[in-house]
Order: sequence, then C-alpha cells, then structure tokens
Amino acid sequence: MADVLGGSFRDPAGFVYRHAGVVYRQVNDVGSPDYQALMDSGLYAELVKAALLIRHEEVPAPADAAPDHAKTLRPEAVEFISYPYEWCFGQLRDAALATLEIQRRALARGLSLKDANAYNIQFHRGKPVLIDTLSFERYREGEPWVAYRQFCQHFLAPLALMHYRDVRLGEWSRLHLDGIPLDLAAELLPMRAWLRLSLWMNLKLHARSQRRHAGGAAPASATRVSKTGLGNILASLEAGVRKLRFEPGGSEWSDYDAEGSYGDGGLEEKKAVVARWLGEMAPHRVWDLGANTGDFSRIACEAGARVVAFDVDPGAVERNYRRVREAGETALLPLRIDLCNPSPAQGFAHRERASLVERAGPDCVLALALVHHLAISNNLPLERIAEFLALLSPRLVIEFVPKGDPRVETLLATRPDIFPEYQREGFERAFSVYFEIEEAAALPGSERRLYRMLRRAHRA
Amino acid sequence: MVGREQHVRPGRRASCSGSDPVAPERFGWVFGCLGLLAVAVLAGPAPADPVRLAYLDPGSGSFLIQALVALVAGIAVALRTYWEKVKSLLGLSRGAGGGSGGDTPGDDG
Repeated sequence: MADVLGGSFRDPAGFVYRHAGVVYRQVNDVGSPDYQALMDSGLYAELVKAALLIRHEEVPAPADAAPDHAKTLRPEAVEFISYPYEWCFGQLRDAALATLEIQRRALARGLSLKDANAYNIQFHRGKPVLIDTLSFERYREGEPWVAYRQFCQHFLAPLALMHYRDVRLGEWSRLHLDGIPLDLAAELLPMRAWLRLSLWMNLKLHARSQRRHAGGAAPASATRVSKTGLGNILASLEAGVRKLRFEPGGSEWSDYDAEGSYGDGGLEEKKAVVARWLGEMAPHRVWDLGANTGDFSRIACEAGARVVAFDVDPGAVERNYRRVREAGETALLPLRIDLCNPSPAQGFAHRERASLVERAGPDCVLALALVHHLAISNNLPLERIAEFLALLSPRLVIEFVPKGDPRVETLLATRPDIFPEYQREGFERAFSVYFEIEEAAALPGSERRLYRMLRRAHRA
Repeated sequence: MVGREQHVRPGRRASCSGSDPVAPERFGWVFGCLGLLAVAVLAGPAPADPVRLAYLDPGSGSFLIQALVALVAGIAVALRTYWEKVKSLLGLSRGAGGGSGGDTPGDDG
C-alpha cells in the first residue's frame, strides 16, 4: 500500500493515501455503514451541490487491498493543502460557519459530524470545503454532539482570542494541533467576552465543566440532548462565531502604498514585464511570496495559473481573502506565512502536518519587492535566500531593490550597514549559484530590477 | 418549550444581522446563574456507563455542558423571536426576511 498520508491515520473508518500522484481514500469495513448512510441519505449530493463537501467517485479496489477494505474513493484533487495556522481570521471564520452549516444539514438528514476538525476543511476554488468524506456517522436520537468540544477548540476559542485580544493569536493553532485548550482560552479572554451568552456558555462554562468532570464517565441520562436541542447548540455556536470580527486596520503592509516605491511608469512597467514573462512561461501553479493584497498574484491568475499568495501580515492576507470572496475568484488562495520561519512538519512522528517545503510544487515563484526584507531586515545571506527559493520552484521572477532605494534606506536608517554584498553584482553572483539568469529588466524611475531565472539542472 | 423547533430558524436569522440590540445577549449573567445551578445539579460522582466505541473522545464535561447549552440557547432563541415580534408590532423592525451568509435553506439537491 502506497504512502498513507499524515493526519488520516487516527480514524478507524478509513485513511487517505497517495498512489502514482493521485490521492485516494479507503473506506474500511467498520466505516462502511456510515459512508453508505451519507450516500443513501442524499446528504452527499446536497453538500456537494452546495460546495460544502469535496466531490468523489468510487473506483475499483487496488490489487493489494487489505482484507478490511470496503470501498476506494477518488476525491477531486485539492490544489493546495493549507492549515488553520496559515489562514487569516476570515478564512477561519468561514471554515467555522461551513462546519456548522454542514452539521445542520447532516442532522436534517439523520447524520452527524463525528469530528469538527479545522484541518478537515480546505479552501477549494476559493471556498471552504469539507474534504473528509468519512467525517459523518449516523445520528442516534438523544446523543449529544460528539465533536462539540473539537469545534470549540478548533474554531470558537481561536476566533474569540483573535477578536478580543490580538489577531496574531491565530498562529497559536500551530502550537495546539487539536485546537486551543478551553481553559487556556477562558483564562486569557477578557471579562467583556463573557457578556456574550454564546461565548460564556460554550467557552467559559464549557471549560469549567471539563475541569469538573475530568476523568469521569458521564451517565447517559445526564447527557441526553434532543435533536431540537442540538439545533439550539448550533444556533448558539453560530451566533457566537458571527459576532466575532477582525478589521484589518493600519498594520505594516495592509495599507502599503506600492505606487510610492516607483517613479513615473515604474509600477506599470513592472506589471507589464511580469505579465509578459508569465505569459511566456505559462506556469500552471505559481507561488507569490510577499504577495501583500495580491495585485501580482492576480496577474498570474490572468496568465492561467493557480496561485497561492503568501504574506506575513495578517491584515494583508485578510484583505486579499476578502477580494477573493467578493469577486468569487477560484484560482487564488491567500495564506499567512513568515518566510523566516515557515510552517514545519508537525504532529505525531512529524507526519501529520507537512512543512511548507514538503507541500511545494509551483512551476514558478514570484518574489517581488521581497528580497530586501529577507536580506536586510532579517540578516539572511543572499545565497541562502537563493538556495531556499531554488528548493521551492524551478522558475523564479524576482525583484532586486538596491541600496539607495527609499525602502532600503528606511530599513538601514537605524542600523549600521553590514551588508557589503547587498548590491546588484553581489545579488546576481549569489543567485547565479542556483539559477541561470534568463532575462533582466530595469524599472523606469528607480534603480530596481526584475529578473527572470531558471534553476540550474544540478540544483533540482 | 412547546414549539421551540420552529423558532430556531428565525432565531438564526436574527443573530446574523450584525449588531442588533437583541435583549437575550444582555441576560448573560442571569442565564449564567441558571447555568451554574444546572451544572451543580449535574455534578457529582457518575457511574460508569457503556459508551459506544467513539473515534473522538468528547470528554464527559463536553457532553454534560451540551444539555445546558441546548436549554439556555433554546430560551434565548425563543426570547429573541418574541422580541423581534414585539419590535415588528411596534413598527421597529428593520425589514423581515433577508437571508444571510448565502446559506439559504431552499437549495437542496
């Protein structure tokens, strides 16, 4: 059996594996009745139609199928697997609302979500979609929602912390892979959060109840919840989520004035050159590093590519995501990444959540107005930057912003210049170790230059 | 709570309309006391019960709290619905209907 994918080995109902580059999901015998209920109830068709669940087709079993094999599914491919700690506030909020909507529809058809794991939601064609087809079980009258705790930990607690304390607390999901512990969230949230009935019950009282009943089994009679009651719980969770907001204000980049960095016609020329090169290369997949709100990402989309737009600033990613949702864009995924500390391989045996590099596969990387932040703000040697970019992609479109440029002068204003290599020749020398420079273009009105590079064959 | 089920949908709507000055949210502490009482009643040593083999461990605390949330949220939803009715009778309603979030119930497959 090929390559069981991380994050799918906990569920006895089945698992996900990759074979010859295609992702499959095996349904085990033990998961088969619930899977069949999903299909027969009409819930599958309803959720796929509403773009809330990934579409799949049943395919013949592989020759080496295990004895407990029941079905093999081939789900529609998701372009890029992203994680909650890489999402902006709006993405986590939309994923939460999608999960509640799925559970509401599932209950109406006699099923229930057996987990409410944020990692089961992926952004597919611009929208949050459940990718775990085996997340459903048949609903049993009177049973509480088994995934209630997980929903609160994966969604409600981080959203509340981001709303009431600081949007950067979204990064904490990277530390707590099964969501933010509720007692921790309850301790950190301010008193005014408890004026919201939903947050007070689902986070604070919930945490208190967990502490009080830790380790003890609950009698079935005390945990009985009617279907109407489950609907009320969902309404309460939804009310809580909908009240939580984040407005990207004056953070570092979200109000960044790109025009200001270029002289007359410089920005137009930059857009024209990037569009021309992308048109010639015709990449299928582009990563835009330091994408800000995605102006150049969209040029790549127009060239026919599917684009992941990374930025370090939560406000910029939020704005980019709102542009995606408002315009209904399907080829662009904004994500928050700090390139100086990109997502590592995590979870049990480092196998559950892949590192950024493990998930790489773009045909082309855009690194526009980025290199000075890495080299000067973060003291990264140019050759190390080139090495990292060569690890990601065979093609590179990169902008060099030299000393003397107002942006670089700002970065150097409060510190000694310890970067003798940071000039055009040094940049070209460092990148030539890993790339062949195919073309360069000067931008009018500034000393900035654009380069189109191809990775050297022996560096692949 | 007769007829609570039919109040769920309008309640959801009301809760989605942004910063509505709906009363139940302001009653947090009242419901809180009620809740504490309920938690106190539910607390105590519990006999082991054969729970069916679950893939997720929901935790006893997370199970017990749900009965309470279901009850209180039901009351809140009902109060909110009556409050909307009172407002519409007084002509203060900001327009009936109006879906939210694109999750219209009528797009069944």
